[in-house]
Amino acid sequence: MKNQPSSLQEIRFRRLRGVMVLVLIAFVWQLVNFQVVNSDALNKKSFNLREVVDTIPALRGNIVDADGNILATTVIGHNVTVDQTQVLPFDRKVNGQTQTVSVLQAVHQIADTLKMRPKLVYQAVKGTSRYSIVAKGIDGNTYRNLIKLDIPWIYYENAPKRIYPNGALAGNLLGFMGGEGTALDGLEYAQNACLAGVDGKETYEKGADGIKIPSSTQITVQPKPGGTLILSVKSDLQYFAQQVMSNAVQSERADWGSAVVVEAKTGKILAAAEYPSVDPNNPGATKAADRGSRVFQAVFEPGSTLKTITAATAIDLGKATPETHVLAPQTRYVTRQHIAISDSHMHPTQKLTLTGVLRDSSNTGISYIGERVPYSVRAKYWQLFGLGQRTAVNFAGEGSGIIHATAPDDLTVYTSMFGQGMSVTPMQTAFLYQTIANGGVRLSPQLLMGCKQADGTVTAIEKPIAPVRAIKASTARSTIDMLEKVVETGGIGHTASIPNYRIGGKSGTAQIQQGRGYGALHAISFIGMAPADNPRFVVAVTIYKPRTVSNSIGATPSFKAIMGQLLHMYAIPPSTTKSANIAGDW
Amino acid sequence: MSALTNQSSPRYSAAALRNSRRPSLVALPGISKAHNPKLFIISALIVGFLAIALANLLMTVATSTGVYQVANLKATKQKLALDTQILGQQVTSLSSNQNLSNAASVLGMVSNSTPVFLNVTQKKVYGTPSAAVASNYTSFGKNLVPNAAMIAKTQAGALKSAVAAQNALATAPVKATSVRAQPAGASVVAPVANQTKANASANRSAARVPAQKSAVSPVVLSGGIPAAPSH
Repeated sequence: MKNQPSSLQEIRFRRLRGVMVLVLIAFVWQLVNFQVVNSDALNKKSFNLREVVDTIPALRGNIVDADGNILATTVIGHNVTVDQTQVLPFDRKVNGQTQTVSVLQAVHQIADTLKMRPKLVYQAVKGTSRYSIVAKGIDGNTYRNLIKLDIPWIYYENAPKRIYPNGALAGNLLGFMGGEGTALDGLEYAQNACLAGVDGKETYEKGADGIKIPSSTQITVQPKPGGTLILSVKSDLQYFAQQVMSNAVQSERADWGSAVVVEAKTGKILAAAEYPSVDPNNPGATKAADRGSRVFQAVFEPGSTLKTITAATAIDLGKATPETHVLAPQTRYVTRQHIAISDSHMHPTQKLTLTGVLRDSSNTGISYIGERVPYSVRAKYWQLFGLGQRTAVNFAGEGSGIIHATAPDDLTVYTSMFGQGMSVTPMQTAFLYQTIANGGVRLSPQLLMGCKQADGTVTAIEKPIAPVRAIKASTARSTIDMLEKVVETGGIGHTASIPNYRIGGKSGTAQIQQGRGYGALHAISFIGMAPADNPRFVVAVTIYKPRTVSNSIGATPSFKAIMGQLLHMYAIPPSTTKSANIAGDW
Repeated sequence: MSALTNQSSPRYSAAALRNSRRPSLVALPGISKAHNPKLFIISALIVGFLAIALANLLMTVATSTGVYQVANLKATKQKLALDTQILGQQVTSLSSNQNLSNAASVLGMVSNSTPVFLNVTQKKVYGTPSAAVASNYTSFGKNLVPNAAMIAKTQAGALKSAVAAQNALATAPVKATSVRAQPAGASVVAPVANQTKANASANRSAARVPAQKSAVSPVVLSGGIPAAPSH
């Protein structure tokens, strides 16, 4: 009774089971096929459709001044791109009404927003390319205005943009970047290792609607931000010095001018101003020749500012004192060929002390002191004072200047006493006087205070040379005493004086080589220190080829303005002591 | 069964008959739904399946809503970051040396090249106090250092008129009674307070200009030397 139907059910069950097993086998086969046999290929195929790889740009580090003021920074700018195949008229809703915007209308709107010529925009959108760049690195405001236009075929990509918030302030030191984000000049270029970060990478999967699938993001390479480059420069002082120098160079119609401010006891460069100076935001606006850093790169014959070194050398070797007597004629014939060396101003033969020689900047006078020391010995002193060699800053393209260890000819033996027949950089001239101001010990210039990493560690960049004693401390003191008399009593020196302060300094009016001889234009300079009783600052001003003045009276006002500002800024109290009592004449 | 038949084979008693037949008539226990294990398992499976499906649906909805919410928030974040960037750049521009220098020139500020120092402890004055005079070498009337990154500038005209209005009020004749009634320090503050009412319009246009307050800020002394020398 039960046998018949049960066997029927059984048959059905068996068949069903058989089918299910077959289906299961098919599934398993397919599964194995997908997961094992073809897994890699399929994975790749599917992933490529959904996976997006993005570069996480590492931000380039800032350049900051001594107080942390930002001189160079990187912000997120935006590139405007277009898919030319999609450039078509489109509908835009304005106040609830739909308007059709033609391509030409859109182009004009884009051009207005970008402040570009419509023709250039039109050229960028016309064609068949799926990726064409309309504008690079537009700022936030422009980006926002462009988004408001709501044009469906323009796209944006983030692009880091280098900004120099203070423009040409220290632009000559900072250098600049190229359009592709490569460092081209100055510290940007030389210190790229500190500033550049390492880009990171992330991958994620995207849904059909372009939305990132949650938890699919994988950062495959962590970005490493660039370090912060710390300078010794004080940006307010730097700005003031640049104002002073641009005013001086423009009013004197000179080629260029520079001012270096050094802290005497540390060698820190507080300002290195020059004009013309590049605005790194827009390097194209400056002539290529003016985009570098003349403070480090320009070499010129120093002229009379070197008389101080000639005098200090003689004193250091016991060959002279500040009151050594000299008879200084208008013209003196030197060398076997009887070549004349003359003073720049007409005067009868004068009874001067060495101090008086510096006060009047007498070429003939210094020649009688200088010849007491052989040329080769003087050349060794120049080396001790840092001439003929690049500084430890190792600035890109820095000049070393030229000094000859042995005299190239008989005349140079004499002309070198007043700074002709050799060449120096403005930075080197500042450190000649830093050595004197620091008791005879030359320090290494400090411009790069270090590279600060994201974790706060600061690594040194400069490899400073050990302090070099060039002259005895007593020689340095005597030299400062003489320099004070130059400012107190000198015809030109006096124009550098600052009421209530003890200032020491020396002017220079150097001839500039032109062809085989010397031209009519000069390099004028004034280098000085204050307060002279215990010098804290050295300021070196150089103005190259001024056309409205021919002597150093064109450099002293700039020196005075910058030194005055320094004393002001650092609240240096006025001097309470008097300068040493040294006679200039006998 | 055979034993029972043997015992009672001669005659069938009613009781025996009743006894022998009763078992075949006993009703089987009713099949209640609750007690059918198969049905219970099936229904439990169905309910469980539906619950899982529902939960799955709810979670999918929640997740996708979350994704869009995240996307929206990210867009908002981007917008705010852009705002921050634009405002930050404006602040940087306004505080750049170039802009401050220009604004100071508009206000007629000049650097005093002969500063004077007071030493409070020694009750001594260093230097000869004299008014700051514009010199060709310390005051230039305008910024000479180019800056292409400057996207915002202090509105010089508005700044000037606001300051002029303030000066006019400060020098305007004040009723003698009001001067006497006020304590000494109040006369410095009063024109500033009045100015906000009287020159609301001039002020509004210069509202962005941060430099106005410096006109009345005191010089702070530290150790007898002005911490920030007055210009």
